[in-house]
Amino acid sequence: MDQMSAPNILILDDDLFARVVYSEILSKAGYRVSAFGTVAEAIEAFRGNPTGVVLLDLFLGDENGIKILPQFLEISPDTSVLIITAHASLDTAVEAIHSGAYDYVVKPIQPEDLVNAVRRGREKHDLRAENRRLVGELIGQVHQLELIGRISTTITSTLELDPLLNLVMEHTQNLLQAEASSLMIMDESGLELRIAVALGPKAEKLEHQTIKLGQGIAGWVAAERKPLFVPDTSRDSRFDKNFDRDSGFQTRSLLAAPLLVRGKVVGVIEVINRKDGRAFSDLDLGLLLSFSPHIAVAIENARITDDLKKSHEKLESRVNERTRELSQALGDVEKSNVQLKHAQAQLIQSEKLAGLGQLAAGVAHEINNPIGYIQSNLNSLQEYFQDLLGLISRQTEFLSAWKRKDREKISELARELDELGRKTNLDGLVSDLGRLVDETRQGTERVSKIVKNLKAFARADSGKPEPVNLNERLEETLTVINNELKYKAEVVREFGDIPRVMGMPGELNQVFLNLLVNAAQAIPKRGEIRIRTFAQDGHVGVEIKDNGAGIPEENLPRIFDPFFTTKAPGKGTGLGLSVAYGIVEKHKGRIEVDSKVGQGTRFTVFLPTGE
Amino acid sequence: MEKAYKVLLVDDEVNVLNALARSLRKEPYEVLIAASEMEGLNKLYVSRVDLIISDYKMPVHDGVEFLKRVAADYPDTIRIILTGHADMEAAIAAINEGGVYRFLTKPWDDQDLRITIRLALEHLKLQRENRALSAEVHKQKQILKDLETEHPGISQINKDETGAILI
Repeated sequence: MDQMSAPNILILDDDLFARVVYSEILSKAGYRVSAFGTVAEAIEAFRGNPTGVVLLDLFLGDENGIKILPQFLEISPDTSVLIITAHASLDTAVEAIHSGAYDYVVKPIQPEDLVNAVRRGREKHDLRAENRRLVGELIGQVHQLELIGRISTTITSTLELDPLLNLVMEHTQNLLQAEASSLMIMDESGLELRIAVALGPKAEKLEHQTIKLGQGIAGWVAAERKPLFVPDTSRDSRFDKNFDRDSGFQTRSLLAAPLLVRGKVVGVIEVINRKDGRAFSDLDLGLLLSFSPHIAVAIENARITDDLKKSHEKLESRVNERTRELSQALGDVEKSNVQLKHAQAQLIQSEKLAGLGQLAAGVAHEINNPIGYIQSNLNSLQEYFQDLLGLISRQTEFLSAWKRKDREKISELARELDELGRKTNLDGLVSDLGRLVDETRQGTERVSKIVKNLKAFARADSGKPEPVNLNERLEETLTVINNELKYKAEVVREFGDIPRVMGMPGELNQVFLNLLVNAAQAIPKRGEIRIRTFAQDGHVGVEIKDNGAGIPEENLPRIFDPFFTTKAPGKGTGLGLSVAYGIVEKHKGRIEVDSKVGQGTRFTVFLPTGE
Repeated sequence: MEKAYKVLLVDDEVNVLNALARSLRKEPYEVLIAASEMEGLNKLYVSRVDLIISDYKMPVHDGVEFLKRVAADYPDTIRIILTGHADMEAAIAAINEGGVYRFLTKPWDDQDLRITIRLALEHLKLQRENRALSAEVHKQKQILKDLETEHPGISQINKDETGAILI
């Protein structure tokens, strides 16, 4: 197979149907796909052609996907392994990421999600491969540099060009007893000399001046590649008098030599005016020529070093740039993560508000019942008092008649009293008074309990996790939604002795509320909701189990998806379970679900005790 | 003195039942209470109830279902709903399907409740009188019809110009 047609995606899934579907989607997106149903086949093929992306189903029949993952990465560490997972096993997917998978796609697969994930995987693979190549290149450069550096230091004490040249020229000038000297270096074009070092009086005026090839003595020497001995400049037409005019220095006699490395002019060295006033001699030129090649080599070495340093810097800046790009891309990802978190927080808030609105109607009923009988009882109490007051005033009259011994009045009032007592049902009234007050008090207690719990339930979290007693939270939530539940189910509490967990009480209430409301709604006529709390392996478990309709198997992977709902339009937001999942995940916990159509559903929330 | 009417109160909260019974204790009808639909059906079966006041949302059965059953089995009983769920949909369903006479909300006004019950019972009384009267009329008509078959022309009354009856 040639490079062009070699597959660049490998699929490993024991489900034939899934393999066909994934291959189809990815082929349409322009990828070359090879698909395998067993681990052995896939690994063998991968060894022959390590593709940039591997698509791996987590629950292969024979082996757990997570255990296979390192085998691929061992063969090709740059390969991006994409995990395919069912939603209910998201925790496993997270585990896979820790084991080196780069991302996961949740079933049921959306074609665009898969294509996007694969595209990201390829990009990541390419980036990793290129980075690896760049780092290799860099290491090679550094090795070369170190080698040259070591050789150079044996010739010259320093690789720094300017101090080296200064040192050389000082020695040269002293050696030749000259008044002044200069060193010119050929630029990269080979057409222009630059004065790198100028020593002697007025020398500072010459520094960094340039001389064209063929111009003046130095230009001639560079062009001709020959040394030159000028005993008297005034008699040599090649001498450019402009230099003296510019510097205010008078050049009488000079020596000039080209600096050659492998036949190439790298610069020109000039010494000017003997200190004793005499003209330079052949001997002086000979002396200059004896060490000028060393200067040439030193210049060349320093230049190579410089070039290397520059290319090193260039490379470094390229690497830095790439790193910056990568970290920016990372920053973008983080930013969008923050935005997502924000959006999620808003969703949670709106779901909470929707939930509260829904609860308000139920709570109204809960409160209207006690308010109803409290008001009515107070009315009755007033009537009781009026009846009793009527009796008392008649009795007072009866007593005064008794004192007056007014027989006629006494017998009249006795009859009236008797009749009045019967009419008001005095015995019943008196015995009912206590009950009336008791029941009224129960009513006010109920109202204040409901309001208190509603307040506790609806309060905003402080934003910081705090120790939470889940049994209390559940009790609170149950009071608030008692009205939703009591007509549908018998609520059975099996609260265990559980430690506190760290978390946001309001958010956790929301989780329980959503699960309990779902449980009640799953029950068609009347059933049972069983709530169990228990401690297990550093976690607190809250199990909410109903004997309602159950969730069809095909819906199970989607129940935590946002906006997934089986209710009629407008009846549910489809956010309840998704929000619950988000909250539990944020608390570093997990939700397990277990359901059978016709038998019921069990949700279990596990929250870490955070020890 | 035996009271003429029986009123049955059904609610799943005993405190509500007690309060209602208190506020109706001086009313000219007998008050029965039931704390569940089953108990309510039981009381309906045992005593002849003229008016029933029920919450429409109660455990076990939907209150509307309960009232539908009452309407089917005891069509002569006036049905009133008293509930804390002031929701229109439920009210409409109750009135249409349960044949409910009135829909009252909690918290209730005692005076309003008493007036409502009295008016409903008057309504019931009129209904019954009306039914009794129509039955009477029907019976008379039947007698006349029978007489006419035995003695044709007997129900014909002939009068002369002065209005005197001719025999």
